[in-house]
Amino acid sequence: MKTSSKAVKAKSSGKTRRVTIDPITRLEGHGKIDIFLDEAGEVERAYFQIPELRGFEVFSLGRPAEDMPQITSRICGVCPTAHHMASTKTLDDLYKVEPPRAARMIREVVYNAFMFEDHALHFYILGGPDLIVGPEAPAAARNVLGVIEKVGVEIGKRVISTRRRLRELIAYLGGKVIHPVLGLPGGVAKGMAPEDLPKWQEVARDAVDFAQFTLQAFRDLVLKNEEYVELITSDAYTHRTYYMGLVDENNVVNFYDGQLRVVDPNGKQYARFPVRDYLDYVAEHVEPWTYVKFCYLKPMGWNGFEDGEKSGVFSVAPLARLNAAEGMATPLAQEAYEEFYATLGGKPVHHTLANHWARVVEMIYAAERLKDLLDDPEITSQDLRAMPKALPDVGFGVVEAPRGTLFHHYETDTNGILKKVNLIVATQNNAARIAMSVEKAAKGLIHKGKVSDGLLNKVEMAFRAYDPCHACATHSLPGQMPLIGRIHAPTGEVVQEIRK
Amino acid sequence: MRVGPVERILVVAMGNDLLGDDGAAWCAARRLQEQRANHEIDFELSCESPFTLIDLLQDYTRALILDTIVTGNAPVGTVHEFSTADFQKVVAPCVHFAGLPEVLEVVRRLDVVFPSEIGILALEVKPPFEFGQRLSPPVAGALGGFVERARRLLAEWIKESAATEDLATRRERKAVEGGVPT
Repeated sequence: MKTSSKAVKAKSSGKTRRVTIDPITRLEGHGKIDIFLDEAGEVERAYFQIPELRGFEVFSLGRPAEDMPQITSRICGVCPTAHHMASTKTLDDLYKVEPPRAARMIREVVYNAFMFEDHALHFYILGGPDLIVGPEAPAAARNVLGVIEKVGVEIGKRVISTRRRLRELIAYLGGKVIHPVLGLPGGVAKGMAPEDLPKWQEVARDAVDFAQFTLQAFRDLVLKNEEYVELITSDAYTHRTYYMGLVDENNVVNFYDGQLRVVDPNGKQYARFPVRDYLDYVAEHVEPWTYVKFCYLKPMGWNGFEDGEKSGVFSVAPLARLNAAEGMATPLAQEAYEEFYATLGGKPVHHTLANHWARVVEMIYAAERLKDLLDDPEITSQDLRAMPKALPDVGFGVVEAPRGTLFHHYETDTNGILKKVNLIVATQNNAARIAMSVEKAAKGLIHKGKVSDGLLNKVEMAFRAYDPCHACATHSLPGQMPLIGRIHAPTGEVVQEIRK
Repeated sequence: MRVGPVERILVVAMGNDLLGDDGAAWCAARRLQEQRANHEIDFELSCESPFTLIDLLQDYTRALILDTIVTGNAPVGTVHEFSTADFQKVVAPCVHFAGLPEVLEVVRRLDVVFPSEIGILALEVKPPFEFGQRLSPPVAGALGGFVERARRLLAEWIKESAATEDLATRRERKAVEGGVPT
């Protein structure tokens, strides 16, 4: 079997054997999973590693803070809108200026359109193979083609066209992704022309329909299959951690604004705080085997990769957002939210794979919110900017990115030149729980040294549910991501190799 | 895009000009755009997930993708040329890894209007994980060759397009002169 030596790092030390699942992507060293087996072939430890882009803070220092919405939108090829919005909100705070209501609504229109199209992409195209096609399906079918096979060509076309129209809406208001011009401190650069509104209102109505269809598809294809439900609720994919998410004044989910709410593993509120206080609640832990800094709840302290109330590990992303809130702000999403918890045994839900379902609930909310905003008469107001009047010093901003809470924090001199920058991205917030999920899945599924293609897929599913953000994925090449697993005997000899 | 009556050509550069050599394809596209200022080819610079190629490439007849690559099997500055036949596996486990193979399979299956010809040129670079706005000397030195390869490919396409246009025009004229409905 052909193997790239770059893809596999196989080592043996003492009586431990090492299995590596290493995605080969354009950039060497992309996320990989190392699984160490003991002499009996049982999993001793599993490590999930994600490389990080380096030097962003140094790169930013000395630049005008106003450049940050453009610069940070290029950090991630998947979430440019999330960074742009978090950065814009940070500038509001930095210059102590509150955008007019219409400007805030325009921002939310763009943001909810982005959340919807990103969730749809993940649910149908990338996450779909796990639950729509099924984890036991042949490897050849466990991909986007298998999803289209299951949902039908017409639905596939609808996914593509819905995404495209929402991206057109984002471009209409925000310009191109590489140079977004929407967000300004205190407002936005462009509003909604009354003559263009009907077109976008129709797009929003279609998005609501499509979101409801998606929920029905989830019911039909996943919830009616007992094996899938068993898998979702299985212990291998369950962790009792804390959960964090943005909520509004009614404690319901809001992607754009509000306060951070944290609930404990029993669903009880542990904290509720404005983003300005984030450093009182979020701290970072360093491990020697990865560049990733693992976020944990600062008041709890770092107590290792552990479940439970005494652990400081928390989670973000769709499931965490639903757990951290008391409901959804829109009626259809609220119905879906109630069905979610009624089916899975009440709050909070600790099953990692339920992220896929939570994503669908959030699609409904994003579409309804988009429709509500576009139906508001004030959406065509041209009162789009409040001019900053205060000297800048420190600014904090937060949004809920598709993959979870995203923090931006800038400090400047009185001319607005950056002196300090700190960003905490969603995958960093989730990193500890992702590592725990991968290890637990590996321990639950790999025994006596036997690692099959199907088992590797199930381990991989543990991190895919979070859709973790890997550093810089903006490339088309080499255009494939085989997973390679190698099992080494205690002597270091390769005894089994699997390539997907 | 207005190369011929139906021909629409797009050059899309993938990468990130804030990540040093990762921005090489953007630099190349900008140079090409300057050289071809009087020609009707569309240019896009993308720092988004490659899955967005599905949106960018729709409705074009030909597309040239410029990118950077780390194979580790060739010196930095080497220009690799690929075709869509080189990207047939569909194995991406999440949005961040979805790329051209997924896009090609989706459009094929969903009958999306997509370029009938896609050229891919990629410049070998070292792994660009650090922020910076300058190309390394080896990559900066190789940029001219990279641009030239792209220029030649586009010139061939334009020539073919013009020939096709001439043929179509002659047929149309002949049909009109002969009174035959086209």
